[in-house]
Amino acid sequence: MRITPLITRRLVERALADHAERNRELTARIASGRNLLYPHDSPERMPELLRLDQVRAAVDGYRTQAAAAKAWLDETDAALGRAGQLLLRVRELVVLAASDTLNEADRTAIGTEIDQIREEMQDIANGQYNGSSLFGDVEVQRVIAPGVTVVVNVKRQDVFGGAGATTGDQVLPALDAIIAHLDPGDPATGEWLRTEGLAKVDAAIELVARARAKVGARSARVERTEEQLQNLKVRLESNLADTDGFDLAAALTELRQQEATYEATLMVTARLERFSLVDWLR
Amino acid sequence: MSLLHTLGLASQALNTQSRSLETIAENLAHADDPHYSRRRVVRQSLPGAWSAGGVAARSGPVNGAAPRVAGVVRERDQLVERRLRQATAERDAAEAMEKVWRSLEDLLDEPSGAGSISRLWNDLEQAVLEWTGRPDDNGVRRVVVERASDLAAGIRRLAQGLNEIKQSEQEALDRGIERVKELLRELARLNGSIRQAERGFGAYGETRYANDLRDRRDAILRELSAFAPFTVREAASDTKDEPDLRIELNGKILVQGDTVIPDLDDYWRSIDLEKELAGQSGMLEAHLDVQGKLGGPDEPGTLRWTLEAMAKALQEKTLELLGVELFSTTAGPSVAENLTVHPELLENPSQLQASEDQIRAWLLWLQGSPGDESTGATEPHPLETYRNEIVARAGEWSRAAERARMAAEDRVTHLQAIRQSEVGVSPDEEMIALVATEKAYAAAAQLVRALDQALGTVIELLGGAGR
Repeated sequence: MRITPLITRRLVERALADHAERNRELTARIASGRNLLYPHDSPERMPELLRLDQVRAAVDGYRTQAAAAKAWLDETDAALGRAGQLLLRVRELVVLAASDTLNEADRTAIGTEIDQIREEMQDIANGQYNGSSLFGDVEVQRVIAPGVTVVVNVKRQDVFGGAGATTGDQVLPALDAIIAHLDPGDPATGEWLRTEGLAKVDAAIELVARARAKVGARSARVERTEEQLQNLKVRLESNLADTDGFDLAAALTELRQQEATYEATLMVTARLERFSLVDWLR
Repeated sequence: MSLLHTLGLASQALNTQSRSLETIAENLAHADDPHYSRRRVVRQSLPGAWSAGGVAARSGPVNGAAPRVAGVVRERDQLVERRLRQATAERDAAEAMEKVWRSLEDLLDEPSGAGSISRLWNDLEQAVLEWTGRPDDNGVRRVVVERASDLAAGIRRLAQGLNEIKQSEQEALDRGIERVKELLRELARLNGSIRQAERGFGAYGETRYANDLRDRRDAILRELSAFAPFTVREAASDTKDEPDLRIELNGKILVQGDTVIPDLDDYWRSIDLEKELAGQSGMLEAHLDVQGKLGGPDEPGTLRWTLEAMAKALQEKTLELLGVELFSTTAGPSVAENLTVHPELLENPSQLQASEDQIRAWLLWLQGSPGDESTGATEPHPLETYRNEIVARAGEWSRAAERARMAAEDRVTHLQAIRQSEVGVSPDEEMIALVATEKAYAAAAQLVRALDQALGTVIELLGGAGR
């Protein structure tokens, strides 16, 4: 075949353009850590990739929700724990005050302490979490997995009493009743405290313990879900990586080879047409 | 054989060699022009044919043959030209397509680019998930409304982008047809000019070839063929018959010699382009094909229609499941082009009221979770449809166009090399020819001098005899 400089030039141009294109592609892949940068990279895997990406986003969302639910439940548990502690102290005080040997001054002192405890209890009941009432009037639910909801709060009226309470054994009414009956001068006080007073405190303690148990059970459930979500996320990441099929080592090796051929092409091009008959015909 | 005849022979040789030098100069001057085909001097040696230059041959039959320039012709191969035209047409068509599909991919911004529908959809999902936990929180409501508005804007942008691409393809098609008409007319004019220029003989009796015009015509044929598969009918070789080159499209003669069919404009208006060009390669067909694939909101199976169905499903399902008219269309018949969030909700997100059950049902639908009753078993989910129909198809077309372009480009490179190998100028060759011609020229000049001396001697002798 008769070769003219134009043929050589065009071939070199084409080769260099191909190299540049391939280099750009490889660099983009390595820089992004992904193989599939455009739909045309693999149209057949695109729907799967996008679906996995969507599921991953959803799983991330659910994990955030589960974490929020867990935090809320932990906060509730801590508050109920403090309430339980306070109630145990109240029980001690009630037992102490129920003794007929106590004089008026002693009972007054006990009354003052229970008053303080009631105020503290009120604070716990009014506690805030993340801008909303920890023990609200309505149930707060979180969706922690598709179709899975969990109640993250304890209703105020169920433990501490208030509007909508079903029985009179909630914490605050019980404390109110004890404070009302703790009349230092009344001879019947001891008897009332020993019977009804103690019963009310025990009922309140029981109520708080039951609420804590419920919170604990939900918390465990949220934790299990969190774990499942975590596992799912790991599987999804690995699926995504498989679907994308990016292999850094292979890509880097290819880039290195690419660079070598590119360099060689440039070198050959530079040597091309270095000599011509024109140089010798002087 | 007389001295005068020999002088004539030498002068003819000088003439021919200077034509050769001229041709070498012309070739070297165009060595880097890909549209140039190298010229070659065709020599002819005819007895007694040196008579040019006014010296009459009076001495009857002669033996010495004078080298004569019969003509300067171009190197050219019809078959290679035709195959190159076809390959160029395929490459240009594939390139045009690739460009369009690449810009469509840019518009889609997938997989999961910041402005992609799938990303916007995911973002809305996340906001709704948060909303399920805090249905009465106005801050969350605002986020939901904003994200819904972003998704609507994304769908609007995509719909408008599809329309724009389609529009620009129609414009490209119109421009292409105008250019084809121009080229056909230009070809007819060139045919006429070539016929005119090649009429008669040159100053030394050589055949005239309008080589520059013929090169120009080949370039125009290449450009023309890139638009549509025109048939070019030319004579068997690069001879004087060729000015009557004929251009046909599907058997219909459009240009014959220097005549274009009189109703060229009417012809393009009257033909059904889609039918006429179906399955053939060329840029016009590519522009038509792209338009057909993008389609319109009321053409089932097309991209634009799929997007429309997606926008409608989003609007209707949201209303059905959430019980709120979150998405609305402001004006016009197309949902996708006009999809927005209801302006009142955008103004005042606290009006976005829905029960927890409704929000959860909407969330599940948005997630397109399989096995959920709310999605319905037979109803295609808009997000799935988007992924499968729009993203995958755009990717597939883009890929196919890229492959076709690369294959055609390889063929074009190969054919160009074959063509160049035949018609290209090699400076080295020209230099060798230059040296050889130079020497021959010098020899001929020397011959003239020797003959001059000889004639001088003869004249002197004659002068002496008369004394």
